Amino acid sequence: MTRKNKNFGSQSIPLRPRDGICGLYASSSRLSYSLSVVVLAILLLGVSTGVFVGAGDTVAEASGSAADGLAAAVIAPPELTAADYPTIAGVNGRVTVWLVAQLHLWFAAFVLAVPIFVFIIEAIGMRTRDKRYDEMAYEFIKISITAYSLTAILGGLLLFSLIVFYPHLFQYLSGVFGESMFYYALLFFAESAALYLYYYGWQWLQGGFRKWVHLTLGLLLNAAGTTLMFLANGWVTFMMSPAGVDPAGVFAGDTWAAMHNYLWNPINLHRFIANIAYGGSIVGAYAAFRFLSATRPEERAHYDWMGYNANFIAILALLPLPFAGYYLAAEIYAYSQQMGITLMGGIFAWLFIIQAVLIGTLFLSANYYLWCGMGRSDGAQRYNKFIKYLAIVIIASFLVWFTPHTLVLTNEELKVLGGPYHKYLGPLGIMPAKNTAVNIMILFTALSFLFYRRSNRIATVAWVKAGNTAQLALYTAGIANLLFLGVYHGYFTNTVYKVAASIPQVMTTLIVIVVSLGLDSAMYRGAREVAPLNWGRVPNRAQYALFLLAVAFTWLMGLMGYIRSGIRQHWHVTDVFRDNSLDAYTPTLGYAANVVSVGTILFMAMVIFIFWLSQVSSRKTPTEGFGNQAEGR
Amino acid sequence: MKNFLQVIAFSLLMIGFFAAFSNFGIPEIQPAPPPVQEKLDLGAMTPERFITLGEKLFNGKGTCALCHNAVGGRAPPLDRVATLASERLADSRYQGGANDVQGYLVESLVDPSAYVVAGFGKAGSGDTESPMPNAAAGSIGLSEVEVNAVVAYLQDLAGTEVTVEIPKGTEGEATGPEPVTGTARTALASAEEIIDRFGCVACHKLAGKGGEIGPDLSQIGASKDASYLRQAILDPAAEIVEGYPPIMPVTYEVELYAGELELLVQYLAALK
Amino acid sequence: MPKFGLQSTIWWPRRNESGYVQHWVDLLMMNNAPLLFVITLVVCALVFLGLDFAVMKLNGLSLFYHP
Repeated sequence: MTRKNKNFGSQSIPLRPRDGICGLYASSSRLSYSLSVVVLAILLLGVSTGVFVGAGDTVAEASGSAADGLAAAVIAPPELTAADYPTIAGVNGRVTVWLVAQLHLWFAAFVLAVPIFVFIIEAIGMRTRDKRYDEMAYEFIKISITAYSLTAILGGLLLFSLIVFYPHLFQYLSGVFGESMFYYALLFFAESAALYLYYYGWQWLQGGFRKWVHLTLGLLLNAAGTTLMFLANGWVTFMMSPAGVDPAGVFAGDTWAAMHNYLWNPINLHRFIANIAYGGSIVGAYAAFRFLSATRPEERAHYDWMGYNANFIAILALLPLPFAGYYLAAEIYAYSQQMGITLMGGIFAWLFIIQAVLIGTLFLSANYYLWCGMGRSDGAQRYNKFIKYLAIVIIASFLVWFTPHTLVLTNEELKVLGGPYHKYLGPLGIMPAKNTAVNIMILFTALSFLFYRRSNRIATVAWVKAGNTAQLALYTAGIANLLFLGVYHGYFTNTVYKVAASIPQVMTTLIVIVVSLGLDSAMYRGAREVAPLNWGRVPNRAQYALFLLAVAFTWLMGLMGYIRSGIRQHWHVTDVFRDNSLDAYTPTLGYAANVVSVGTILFMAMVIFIFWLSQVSSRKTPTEGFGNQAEGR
Repeated sequence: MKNFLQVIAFSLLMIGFFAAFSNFGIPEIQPAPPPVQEKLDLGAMTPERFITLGEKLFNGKGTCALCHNAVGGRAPPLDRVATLASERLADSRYQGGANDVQGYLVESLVDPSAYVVAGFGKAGSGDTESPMPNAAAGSIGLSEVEVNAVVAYLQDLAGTEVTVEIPKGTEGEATGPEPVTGTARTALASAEEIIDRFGCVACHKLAGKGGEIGPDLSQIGASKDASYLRQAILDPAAEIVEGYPPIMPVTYEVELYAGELELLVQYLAALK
Repeated sequence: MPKFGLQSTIWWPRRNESGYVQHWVDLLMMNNAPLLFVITLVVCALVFLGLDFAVMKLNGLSLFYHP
């Protein structure tokens, strides 16, 4: 059966055999699957309502107003002792909650990100009438469906772990946020409905008005998902920078005030962008895996193209991400200078050196993938000679970023060195050097992309030389400005100027990228193809770069999750609700890294399972003599 | 299958690299354990002990050293703040209500924005808003006695006169960053218990029985008064009795609680 | 010819009958890429300095530090 697309594309789309994960759910478990998510949502509703009411009851008793049934519940954090934290033999409550929360976040980031870029790709497909985009969008959303159920399962597990291991904390938090938890649970109905309609209705809602309905469903899906994330972000940022409570922690009754705390919007922005980058990298890993196991050249070409697009999405979101992170850190400083200094100048400072290694890995592998990808077209040989300079600059910037400031030395070493800093490399350890380095890394990554764009084309506009000269001048001026802001304001002024100078640095980088891309696309309008782009002609090691991107991203997210939580140190809710459990101590960075590594391995295992499912469902085992439909009947 | 295993191996290798770098590539720093409530008896607090308490708070619970340190840049240095106080009080930008050095120092702990040293204000506030938190509230939460202790320390640091009133006999609370090795030692309730616990009879004679390494204390109250005895316990090196070796432990200053010291001193002073 | 934006025909190069493309930017700079480079560099540098100044001003600071 075929359905003619009246307006979008001229080919008919056959209802293809149910391959991929779609088939798995089409068979029998569709209903049970949806039921399980609905049950989970009801469970969440019930728990949040029950605990909310329960919190009110117990606290009312504590405040001595049990006799007066109409008294308003006072929600205040209790003074806990180690005995108030339930234990289960052999299970470390803190590590359990840590791992489950992180696993939930990894999956949640993925399932929130995919609809964002699927929506955009579908829109691009509608605009350009290129069917490939629509098909790629469909394949992307297929991958995230199983991940959606795992997200819900891990969310439920997180909820139970919190209730089991930190009941008083959960009671307090649900007292403050009970209302929002209720809406959170209800929103899952909306998100599930939107997601299933969006996915299962993909082939049905094609053509003309129906396609617009479909796109709107995608929009609703994103709206629901983003709202869910914003709600959950409110709970977590309340723990870091509480608002709507008095200094003793007594809740004033306004949930919006508690939600709309200092760090809410910085985390919203950072997580929104980071989710997109992360989703792109996971989808890229999927494409890389399918590429490596592809047998036919068309398959290879298809998954190579998919991997490229995924990498493009990941890099696109990766470029503004350091700025969102810097904004978050700046807001942490503004909220509490102590928290900020502990974060970057105190015990967590070395953690950011590990972060530097990971971000360097991300940028290098993303760039490496682009450079390998240039080999798809023979026309790229013209630009090969420039790549080594890009590599040198990116590696040098990474090394600057990775240089620590204060060295941990013994007394003898201190005497020999004459202080806790290296004489020449020490100055590279402070933020201005690092801001400059990261801005240059971002600029040169964009430059890699510019080279990639033109690898198979030659411009035919008359002003090519002028255009190239202008781009070169733009980049030079941009880099000069970055260096001026970084060196002058970084080393010859005071702290206030140093921090403020980072903003024009960011804007310079973004302006250079946007303008040069605009100039480039104008320059290559109507360009002639010099040599065809051979999708599929890319070395296998490029696919490993995509795996590295996914693994490094996951590990980095785990590390940053640890920082975000660890910065509270011995507080459940900063300054308001003290953590008095036996595990309240801040662990060493090595320990934290080990927990994150275990989490990453668990997550990767689950993701591999999801990818494997996508292959399994298309396999058919021929059966002989099992069925009743024998010949001749 | 081969692809699959290769990808697994590669991923495990990379994860292993990140974990190995975090464990061995960066210095292992043990973060300080969470602070513990420690009861400090403030009876018979000497000025020296009070200043030492202030220093302990400055580096510990007060978290002052996090920003006010030799690295500079984050907060003004405090080594001479007590001498600079009078200048700042006279400064036109001063917004607070203190009239003397002690008042200024206390105010700068609880209301730091009353006067912000030039260049250290929050960005964009023109040095009218301080990024320093109120040290008596929130997570620092220094009590009034602790604030005074820190002020005493700062006054002593600058070499000026310590004008803060040393607390006498009133019980207060001070928390230090002592690790949770166990519960803090409960204060002993009688002089006999203290003598027993600290083994004084190993070197001194009491009630005719004990060692002969140190002076006989059986009737020490007849010849020496309470203040001499107090000093002899806290700072033995100040005056060694002739003919005896200068080997009395100097650690009682930190090991004895103030209340216990007082009990012991009163007991010895009564031995006539 | 693009159907949006600048309808002005002077911006996009025009191809005459013999196929030779003329553009006013080329007429100015065709033989002098270094000059174009320097001019663009100076213009961009000024724009960036202006941006720096504006942002610092918005934060209540001047571009250069006067201790």
